[in-house]
Amino acid sequence: MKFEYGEPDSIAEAIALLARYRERAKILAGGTDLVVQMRQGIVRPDFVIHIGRIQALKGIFQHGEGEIHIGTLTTMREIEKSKILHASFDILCQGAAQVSCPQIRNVATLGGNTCNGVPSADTVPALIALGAEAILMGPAGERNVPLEKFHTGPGRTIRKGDEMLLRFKIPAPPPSTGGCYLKYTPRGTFELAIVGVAALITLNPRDGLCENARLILGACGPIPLRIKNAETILLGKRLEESLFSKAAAIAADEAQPNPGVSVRAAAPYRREMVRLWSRYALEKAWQKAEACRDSY
Amino acid sequence: MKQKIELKVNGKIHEVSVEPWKTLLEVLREDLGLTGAKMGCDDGNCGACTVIVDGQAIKSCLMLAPQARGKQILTIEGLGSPENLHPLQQTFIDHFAVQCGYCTPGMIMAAKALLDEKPEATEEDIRENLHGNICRCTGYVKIVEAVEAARDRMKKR
Amino acid sequence: MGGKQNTPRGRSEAEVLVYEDGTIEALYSADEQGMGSETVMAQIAAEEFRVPICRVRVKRGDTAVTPYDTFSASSFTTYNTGNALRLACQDAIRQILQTASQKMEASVDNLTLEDGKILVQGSPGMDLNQLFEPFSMFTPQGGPALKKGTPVRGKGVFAPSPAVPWDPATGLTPRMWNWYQYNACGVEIAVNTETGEIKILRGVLAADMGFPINPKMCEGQMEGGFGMAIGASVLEEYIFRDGLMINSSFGNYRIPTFREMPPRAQFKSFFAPDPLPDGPWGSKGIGEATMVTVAPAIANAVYNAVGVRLRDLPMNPERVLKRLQKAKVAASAPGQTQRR
Repeated sequence: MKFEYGEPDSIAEAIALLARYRERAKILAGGTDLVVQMRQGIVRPDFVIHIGRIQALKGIFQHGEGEIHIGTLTTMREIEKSKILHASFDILCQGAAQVSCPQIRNVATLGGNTCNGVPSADTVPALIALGAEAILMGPAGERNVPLEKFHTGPGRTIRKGDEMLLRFKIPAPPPSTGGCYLKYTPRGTFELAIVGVAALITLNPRDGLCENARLILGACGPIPLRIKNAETILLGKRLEESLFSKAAAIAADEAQPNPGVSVRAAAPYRREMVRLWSRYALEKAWQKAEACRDSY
Repeated sequence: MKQKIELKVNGKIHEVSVEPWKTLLEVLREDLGLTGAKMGCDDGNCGACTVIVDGQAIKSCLMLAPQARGKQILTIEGLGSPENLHPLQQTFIDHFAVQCGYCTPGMIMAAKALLDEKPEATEEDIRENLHGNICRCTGYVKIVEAVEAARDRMKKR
Repeated sequence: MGGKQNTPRGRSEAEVLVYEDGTIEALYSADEQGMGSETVMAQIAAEEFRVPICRVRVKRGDTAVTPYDTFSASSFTTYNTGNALRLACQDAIRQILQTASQKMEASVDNLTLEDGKILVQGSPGMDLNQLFEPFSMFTPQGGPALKKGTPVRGKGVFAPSPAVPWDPATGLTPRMWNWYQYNACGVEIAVNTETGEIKILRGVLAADMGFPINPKMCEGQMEGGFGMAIGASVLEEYIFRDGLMINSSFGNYRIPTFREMPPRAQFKSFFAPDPLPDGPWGSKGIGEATMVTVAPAIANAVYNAVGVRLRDLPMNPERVLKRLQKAKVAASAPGQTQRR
């Protein structure tokens, strides 16, 4: 393993390096994924661009109308502990809190978790549920990509070789919204998810009918999967258990677990767990939305 | 191409010249002779490489050496001396929490980071916050006892 | 309940050096992997010489100076190497008391060595270091004495009595193994009937180690064995593809973490020692057998909880769920014999 190493002080410097090296370069943020991949020869960059000291990439900021901007270098721990995010974006905190173990969370970044592109990432389903956008920057300038469109395959993202992820933009969820991210493994959060489920429910504050529903599966396909058909059956309805079971059944049907030999779980079992945990996550999200409605 | 990196370890400044693909763990062990942190898996799972960087427990096999430049690094060697052991080091001995000893430096550093943040950490907190540190010998029983004993000793101070 | 045997093979040899300042040095080649054999050997020597353990030094595993041993495996060390070391200590004591009896003109049968002092029928006689005389041109030839600078060297060899081949007609033999080490294990578990997960809520383990030379370390073996057995019982599995193990990272080879063990207050280890006539103070060994009983206890608990028997390890969630689903199908099929 041999590479050249650079530590740009600014975004502009980083972009310049990327323009030069493009796909031959890898961006190093926290390193909890990249360092392992390099040492095991899974990736072999010629150039490693360490962006960890660029201050402009850090921080959680509130913008107008409750919108939140999260810098790409924000660590899982910072998200886990953020009071700002806990208020209305709690589902993201739940995702970050379930990444591996404390030592990893102290270093791993939101941008890294997203750009690494594994379908079992714990923060991505939550980001998709919240309707987040990734702000990419390249030589031509900035562009916004909805998280739903960010991943294109296992380990592959829409980011071009000369682009860098700067920050995430998340719109304020409507008032009576509740979210739940669940990670299922046989051994706590230490492992990668066998099934990850992000469920977000918005209720109409007056009549309590479901105004919005999001159901996203992690680790059950080549990319995080949004199960729109499960969401649709909940819209406009008064939510209750049988609806969640129906939605979960649709999710189990549409999940795409790898049918081959898996080190973590076989496909039929994953489907079972999708059915089980989707229902549970939707129920939890609904309970939280109800609680918001009561205090509204 | 080797890079000159200044590292602050256990209160001392060291200048090392290393290839950028060396991890902090390798530099601590091979260039600075601080072999307390261990390489148990080299893929970020076992936690035997845990050290404290800027007050936070991290797995040093996952950090490239240049990333650690300018940060305060604390290893087990900096925690106490044979004449003056840190309470955690003493309780690990007293409670027989050390068998083969391979996980021990990482365990103690992770426990220190926890107790620094949560001086009243419960058994549940200990299990939750140290579950990134794997031990095969002890079944974790006397490790929990040792961390709780250290917590109680440190509270009295 | 279950256990393991200790094989009557191999030969252990140990030496012990006694210096004039009262330091005892134990020399042997058995290994220390962290189970504490070095501590136990030091305890054995300290007990034989009746000195505080800080007076004992251990030098092990350097065959330039330590006699060869067989191995540190198979719950071998305490019994085999321990016995050899005891014999070495007793040999050294015999030499010391022989010299003392000549010097003090007392019968060797009336002498004992205690904490660096030679006692005559229990009363103080002389100090050990007084037995060591300086070298001198003028020492009478052939006088009884130990010499300053030359430690007393005791040697001990222990080989267990061999196994007696069994009678082909009956299949019986009076001696197959050195000893058996039995354990008993009880667990309380919860089975998640929707995921198949097994959670260990409580555990107890009782072990017969013959005699616990170091009780805390015996606990450590039981606790560690229980933890390791949880892994073997419900979590760990080798997954191969094209002859290569594809889950060899601790991230996907499921070795138990802190969270898979029951809470501290819900696990207890018990000693049930049955002294072994030819073990050091009745000691056997303890390391391996601690794992034996746990998986069966868990499997029996699963049957007790949900009425299905699992016969493959690990009893991981996928396997458990499959068994539960099969049992449900079998139970609901009309007119079928219930096979569990």
